[in-house]
Amino acid sequence: MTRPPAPPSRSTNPFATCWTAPGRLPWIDSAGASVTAVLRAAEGSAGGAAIVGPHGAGKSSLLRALAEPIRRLGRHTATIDAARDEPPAGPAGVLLVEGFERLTYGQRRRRLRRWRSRGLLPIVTLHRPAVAWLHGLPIATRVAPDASLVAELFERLTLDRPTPVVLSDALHSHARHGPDLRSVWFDLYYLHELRRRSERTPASHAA
Amino acid sequence: MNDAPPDEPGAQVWLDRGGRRYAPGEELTGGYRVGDWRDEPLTAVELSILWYTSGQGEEDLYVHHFERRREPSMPSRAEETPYEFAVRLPESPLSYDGVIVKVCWAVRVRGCFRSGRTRLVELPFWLSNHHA
Repeated sequence: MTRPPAPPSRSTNPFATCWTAPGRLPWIDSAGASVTAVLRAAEGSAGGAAIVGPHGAGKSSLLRALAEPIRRLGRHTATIDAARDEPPAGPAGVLLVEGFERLTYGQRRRRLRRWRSRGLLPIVTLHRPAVAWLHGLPIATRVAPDASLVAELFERLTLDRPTPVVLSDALHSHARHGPDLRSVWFDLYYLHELRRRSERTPASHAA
Repeated sequence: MNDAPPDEPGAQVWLDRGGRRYAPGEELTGGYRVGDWRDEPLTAVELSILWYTSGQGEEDLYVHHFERRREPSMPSRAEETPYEFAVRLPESPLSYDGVIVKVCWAVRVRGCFRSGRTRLVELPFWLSNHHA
């Protein structure tokens, strides 16, 4: 009797969404984008600040990474999706806002006015720097992961989860997709599946 | 949403009939030991037999069987004997190892600590019509 292959699990593919979705990978500071840079920009601004970067670059991960350092500074903080949530009632503090760019220009203006009138300091994520400029939000940092960050994240993802995908595959995909890491993880996910299946095929024929 | 943290060793979970394929309607038996987890004050240990989807995109999770043991009902580490379970498996969904999505069955043991931290150990298994 042949032993069945390992059952499917979340560890089967190190690039599955459960490991790579926003907030699952730790934020790692780089020369161009850091938690400190955002905190400094937010502290120096009365009206809030923006984190700017392309789709899949890690803006949401950085936004999530801000909550704990802000609490350690003794300030209240809340994270909301601008299209869905209202800030919770409570003392003034730093408002971490996702989905700001999905709102219309008028909605963005009204929400910013409302938040600021409550003494809240919004930090929003944006794809386009022009939107920050339109609303008078200084750009706190620009998120654009480089090859060394891709290498570090690749190592973390594959540390305890074996894969036939190698670092050069990740770097090749990064060269193709630029800062859009979400597309890099998609590429690697499929590559992992293809190679895992091709590795398994000769063994199953032999069995 | 499958928000499970990474596996952490310390506790052990096993199936009596090991890594074979289990048939729909079959009884799944096994046990677990919390072991090193007792080094830190535990408030509860949860056992789940569950399935979840994994892959690209949204994830689903369904708990087929759940048991929670609170701290007062747990023996001290020195006296720990394996905690055994026996659960009748459902007819579906069957395990599926697809490219885009996988349906994964697992026994999951989660330790809840007084500090608010949780630790987790998971043992995947096949639920399948093809016996091996």
